[in-house]
Amino acid sequence: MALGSPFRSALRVALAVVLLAMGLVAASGCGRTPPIEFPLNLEGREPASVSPKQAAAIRQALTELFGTPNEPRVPDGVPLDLKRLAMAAGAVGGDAQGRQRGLYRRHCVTCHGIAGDGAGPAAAVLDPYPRDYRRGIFKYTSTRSGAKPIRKDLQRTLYRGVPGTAMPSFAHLPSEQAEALIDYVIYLAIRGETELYLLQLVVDEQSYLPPDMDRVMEEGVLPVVESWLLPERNQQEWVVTPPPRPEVDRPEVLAASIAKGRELYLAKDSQCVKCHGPEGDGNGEEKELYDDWNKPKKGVTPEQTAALARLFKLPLQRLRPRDFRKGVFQGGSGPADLYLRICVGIKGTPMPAAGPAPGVPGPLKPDEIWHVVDYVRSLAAGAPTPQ
Amino acid sequence: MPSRIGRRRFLERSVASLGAMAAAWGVPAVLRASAAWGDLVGRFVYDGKAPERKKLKVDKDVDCCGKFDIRDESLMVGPDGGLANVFLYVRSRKVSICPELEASLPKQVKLDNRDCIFVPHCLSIWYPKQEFYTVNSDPIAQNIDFRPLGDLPANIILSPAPGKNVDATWKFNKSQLVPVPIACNYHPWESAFILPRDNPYVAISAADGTFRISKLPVGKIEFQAWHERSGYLETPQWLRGRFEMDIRAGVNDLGTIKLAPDRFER
Amino acid sequence: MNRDPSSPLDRRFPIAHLLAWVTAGATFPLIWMGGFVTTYRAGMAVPDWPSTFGYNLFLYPLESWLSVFDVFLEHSHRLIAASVGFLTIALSAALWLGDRRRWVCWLGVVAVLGVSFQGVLGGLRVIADERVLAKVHGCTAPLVFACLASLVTFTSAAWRTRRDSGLPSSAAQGGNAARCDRLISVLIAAAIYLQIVAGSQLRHLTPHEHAFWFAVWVWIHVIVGILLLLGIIALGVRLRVGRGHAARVARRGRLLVGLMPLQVILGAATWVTNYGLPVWFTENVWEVEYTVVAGGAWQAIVTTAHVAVASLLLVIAVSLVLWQVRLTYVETEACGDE
Repeated sequence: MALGSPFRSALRVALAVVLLAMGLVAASGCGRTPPIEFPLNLEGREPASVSPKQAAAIRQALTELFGTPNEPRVPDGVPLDLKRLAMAAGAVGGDAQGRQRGLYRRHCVTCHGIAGDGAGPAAAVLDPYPRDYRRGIFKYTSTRSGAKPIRKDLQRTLYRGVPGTAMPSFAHLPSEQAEALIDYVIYLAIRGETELYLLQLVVDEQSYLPPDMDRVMEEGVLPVVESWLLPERNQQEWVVTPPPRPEVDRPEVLAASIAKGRELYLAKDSQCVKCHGPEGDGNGEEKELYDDWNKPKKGVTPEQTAALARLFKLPLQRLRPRDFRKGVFQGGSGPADLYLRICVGIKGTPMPAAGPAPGVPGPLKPDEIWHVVDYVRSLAAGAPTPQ
Repeated sequence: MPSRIGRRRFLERSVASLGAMAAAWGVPAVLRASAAWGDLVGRFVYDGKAPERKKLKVDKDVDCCGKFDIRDESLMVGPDGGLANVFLYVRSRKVSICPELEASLPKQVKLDNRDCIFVPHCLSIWYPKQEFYTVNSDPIAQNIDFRPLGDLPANIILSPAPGKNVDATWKFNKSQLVPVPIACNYHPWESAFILPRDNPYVAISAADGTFRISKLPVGKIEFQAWHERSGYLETPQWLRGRFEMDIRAGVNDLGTIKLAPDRFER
Repeated sequence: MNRDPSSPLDRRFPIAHLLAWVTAGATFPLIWMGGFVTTYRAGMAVPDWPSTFGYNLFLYPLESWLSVFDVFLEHSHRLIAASVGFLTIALSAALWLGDRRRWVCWLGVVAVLGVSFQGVLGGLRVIADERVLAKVHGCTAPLVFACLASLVTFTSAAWRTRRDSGLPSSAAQGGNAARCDRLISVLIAAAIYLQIVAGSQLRHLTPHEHAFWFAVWVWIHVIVGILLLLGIIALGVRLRVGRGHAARVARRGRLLVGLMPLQVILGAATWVTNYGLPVWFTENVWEVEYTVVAGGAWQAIVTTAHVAVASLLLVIAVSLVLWQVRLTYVETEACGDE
């Protein structure tokens, strides 16, 4: 048989396309996947400032304490369930009865990265970026200013998702698997803070190598664990349960509450308008706001910021103060959720706590916070701004 | 057989020997009490012409803060070259603490929000014994935001003065290796540094560059010098701003430490 | 030989064409199933191959197969794949037995090799636990599908007798316009394949990949998608029957024009159900609150439909190209070129 010339040219074109496609695939990383390891947290550090010996010593210490992505370990005194961690860690797979392994890599790693650094493959195109667990700071909590989240806060985020962002709701996940993921997230957070301590100790302080593991436990691991246990143990002091909402069924009562809320919103005490603007549309005086994960990327001058960019995995991302009129609240738009956001603030962002904390009285009382909640919800519902 | 005179002499001798023994123990103890502690003094000098302090951009609460001449505090050089706000602290981990210090030091370390800046710019706190106290003296709301590594982060609002909720206290739980920056989210030009340590041996150089760390235990101690512009205050003699000193009783004078301007370049 | 309708032997064996249809028809659900396996991340639900948890592929107990969702997806995918394999072998045999055109018979062998290669690739992906192989498996599947679909075209009676339904070949078939149409069609087919490759990069992610490359592939996928939409609409406009094109060609053009906007909508829906509404949308277009639901029905169906329709588009585009080329050279062919 002789192929006609049109077929030949068509074949040539098709072959060219296939080769081009394969070339592109190869360029983006075709080949054997290298073994999965926790990368070292060099965010904001000159790579050359950490010598290979120091990096190896830090990695060694972390592996000794926390294991690897396939085989997690917990040091003594860390109250995490190793069985759950084993379910969340490792390569994705299951057995004939449907028992899962590798849950974190199945559901989370695409955005949150293998070490929980919030810089997974899909992270760069997302706004806001996925959470970086390694500083132990979580945004939507019910614990007073300064404290770590309680388990219930992480459960809430996992089950509900974060509306308006790429964080999905994992309500479909069986509860056993969800709990395993929560344990793994806490594990990554504790590991991350220990890693920051080790970097400070080994690189900044230039301590002798290998680092003294007793000192690392005493100064690095145990204070972090204590901070996680603190709000769980002292719920009375550190966890906020929104008090019962005052009756606002009747329209005139609600209107009065909204008016009072607006008054408090505009008051100089709480300074809401600084960021959220007098109309609650997010157009406050403060234009350049960054969360904790992005602040280190900002230099004093634009040249400095450009120079800093190469020290971080993801580019600088601005924070937008919430526009209440849009009604999209990432921490949840129910009254109790808004109460918590105002009372304890949003950790890791400039949004401060308006309610009390141990030693800090705070500008707003519980009923005042409810008035502000009513005002904010009225804006979200589309009510015109009262004059 | 002991006579009455013999018994008395015995008693006298016993008392005398007891007294001598007590003296033998007591005197060195007294001597130890005054001889076991030393002071470290010295003066940091900026070896060059002091650069002009840049005026900072005050674009928030301008009606209140605009009237103040708010300038950059990151490099404060006195008229005769003295460098202020250098932290000098004990780096050795285990160091004995003079018992008298606890009584002499204030129970609270105060950070004031006054005239739209933090006063003082640099503080240190002996966290097991002292409490951090912050107060707002301005008629506008202020915010205190700091994140000590491995410790609870803070983001506190203080209401305008005078009024309620103008002050707050905070507990530190961990010794920090370097000073922690304090920021205000409402007024981005404000900045301060606080160093929580588990011993009181921290000095911050005064406006004329002089410093004194009182009642250090005698013996070899390692010190760390830090400045906000340079980080670890490295000199040709001090690798990463660290040096070891054999502290003797009395005053140990480091002398004048001249610091080259290139260390403080932004 | 050329103008002769199929020989008596061929007439007695339209079975090849029927088998080609069944095989290609079975490959479409196979691609759907494979898409579901990836969407639900069930690629490693069965850790061994070619056995299933030690059992022979065809002897895995029904209850165990149906009781675990991940295993159901993966095992079904294997079963359908095995069926397609058998069908392809049968097709190749039918071709060798019944078709005089040697090149079609060899194409049948190529199809068998292709399907086997796909099977082995899938098996290796599981044995080596290697996501990169999953990526390649997803990129070669549409090529095999296209090969099988082209066999449908080549075994069709219309192709063999060069009977054209509708207008006789006219001047519109030759000349520069026709060359331009052909070129556009080929480019469209190539672009569809490029889109499939880009999509495969976005679906099969290993933890190591740098966020930069993902962003690059997203932009490629979106930009080429928009260009494809415009190109297909332009082609559809050009390939109208009124302009002298054969009904066969115009029909395929219309199919593409009908499916492409659906694919674009599916693509947008895939992004939203997986990564939420983009900020520029909620800020400037419509401030609706949307929460992504992991493992949700919408997410799974929309994403997998996007994958499956892509393969369908490729196959239609390939068929379009084949017919365009075929009908242009009706006049110019002398005997022998079959």
